[in-house]
Amino acid sequence: MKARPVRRCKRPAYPTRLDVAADPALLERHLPEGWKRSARLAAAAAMLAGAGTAALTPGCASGPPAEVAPIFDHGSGRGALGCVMVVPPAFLSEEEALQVISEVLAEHGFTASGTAPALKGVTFAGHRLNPEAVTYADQFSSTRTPLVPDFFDAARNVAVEFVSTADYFPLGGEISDMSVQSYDLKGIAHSAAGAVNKHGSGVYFGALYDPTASVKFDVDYPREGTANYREEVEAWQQKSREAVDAAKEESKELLREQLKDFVDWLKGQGVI
Amino acid sequence: MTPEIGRRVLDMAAQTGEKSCGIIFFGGEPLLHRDLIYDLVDYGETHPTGQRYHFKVTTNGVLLDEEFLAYSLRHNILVAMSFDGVREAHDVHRRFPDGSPTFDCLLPRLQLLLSARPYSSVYTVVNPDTVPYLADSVAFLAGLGVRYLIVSLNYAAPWDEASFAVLARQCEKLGDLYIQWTRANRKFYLSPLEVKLSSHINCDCYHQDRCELAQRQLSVDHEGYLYPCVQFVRAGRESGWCIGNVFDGIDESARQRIRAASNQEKESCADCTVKGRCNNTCGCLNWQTTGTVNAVSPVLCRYEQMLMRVADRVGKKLYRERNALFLHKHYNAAYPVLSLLEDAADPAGPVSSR
Repeated sequence: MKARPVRRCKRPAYPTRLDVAADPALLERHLPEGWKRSARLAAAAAMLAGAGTAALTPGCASGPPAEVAPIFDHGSGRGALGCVMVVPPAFLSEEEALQVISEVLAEHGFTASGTAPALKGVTFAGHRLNPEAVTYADQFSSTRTPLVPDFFDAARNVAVEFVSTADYFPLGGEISDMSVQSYDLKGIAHSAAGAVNKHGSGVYFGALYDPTASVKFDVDYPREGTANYREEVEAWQQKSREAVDAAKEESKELLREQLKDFVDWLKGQGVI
Repeated sequence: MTPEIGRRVLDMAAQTGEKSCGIIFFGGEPLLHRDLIYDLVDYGETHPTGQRYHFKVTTNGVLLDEEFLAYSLRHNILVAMSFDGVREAHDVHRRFPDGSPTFDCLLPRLQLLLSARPYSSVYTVVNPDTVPYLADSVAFLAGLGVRYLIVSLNYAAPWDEASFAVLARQCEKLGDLYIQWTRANRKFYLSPLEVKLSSHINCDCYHQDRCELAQRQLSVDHEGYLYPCVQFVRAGRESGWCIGNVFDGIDESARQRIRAASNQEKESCADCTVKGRCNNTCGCLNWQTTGTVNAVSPVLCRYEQMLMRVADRVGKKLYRERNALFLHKHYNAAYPVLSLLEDAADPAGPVSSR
């Protein structure tokens, strides 16, 4: 057996004390269960942490701050549409994602409570697509969009927002002025989580995003003029659809991984 | 050790200028000489200089009884006990001189200790032949109510690839237990993982917790000779490791020589990117395993890397969950006080009852 130095290593994925010192509210937002139950202990925690007691005292008038899950990194969350040079990923629709979200959360006893209410105080400066636009300049109009989570369990105050391409512009995604539109859905999930963290209250919130798995399809389009051209085109189209379906399945699996982490986080919060 | 030598040790400690000096009785078995302990504690409590001391006894538990525990409570003496976990692990190496096992004798004593002093530390030593029981042993001890568990490897044992593979699996299980207990809001201290988490979280401050040979603590043998650490006592007073005695004081040149040797860059660690998080600075451990204070045992090297991987997995997982107990335990400097306040407010709460 030999001593072998570590030549390269990844930085651990949890912060140092100095990192946390830059965000002192982190400790105030996350109090151990036993401390939350005791107003005296919460007050002592605040005093020792050098913070005010209002945010720590259960039942204070302004309500408890929102508990916001980190963004769980499964899938790039990036993709583009437009020019023929672009190979788009298989974007998931809101409905497809909600199906996965509902299934996974139902396994842990969560039920969607009909139409979710908008999260109070959380709005985004974004854009809305104008379907009746005549000119390019008219196709988007500025809007202030409230955040209405895609999934909300009222009994346990758990809200989930799935960031899809449909959310991209309303939630502040950048509009391209070229023939290719890029989407940074993970980036929007981060900003949604940040907004809820800053302005939200009384909810356990998770922002998930479309993992945007790549379509793996490398089949040449049939050459025209062959005897079986029509059949070959149909076969090509079938393979293309299969490749998109496979990518969507991969995206759904990555979304399940995000949900798995979210459920673990909820366990850590004592919600489960 | 005579009472006179013991008193000279306390006198020497009083000259350090520390507000409160720590005196640890260990051996051998310190409870074989409990009258000496009583004498020295009494001397410390009424020391002519007014110096304050805090005392600790590390025992194998055989002679631990209600009388000593009552005394320890009256005089605020911490008691730590060695216990290796489940019977299959404990009885392999912890035997009476006649070869009979000690598990059945020591288990009630451990329970007695925990009922009297619930925060007592328990020391567990892991050998290649007991490593398959490591996670079970930790779970077993936690089940008994142990909150402070110090798990150490016997670095001098014949570790090989096969036993290390078992150790790796067991350490992963310890990581799983750590996550599980933290999620359950259960308070505990599990030494190897806490230390490795701290080595990242506390960055440069972690160096304060690392061993500095002959600097912050000394070991005294029964004749009053001084050594940089307990491992060196067996080298004897004629060895280069003896750095004075309680009558003539510390030989500063010997102390500095040892410090300088220990602080030398370890050749095998020169290019290592995680050396700042490693226990490679423990000179006595290096000396025990390699015969020199500035060469690192391959066993230590492998184990430290293994622990870092597990600790980082645990840290990543619990941080991503924003687990409140994890955050406060590791990032809130006031956590020990707040935790004690919580326990005092609710001694029969869910944590204490586990």
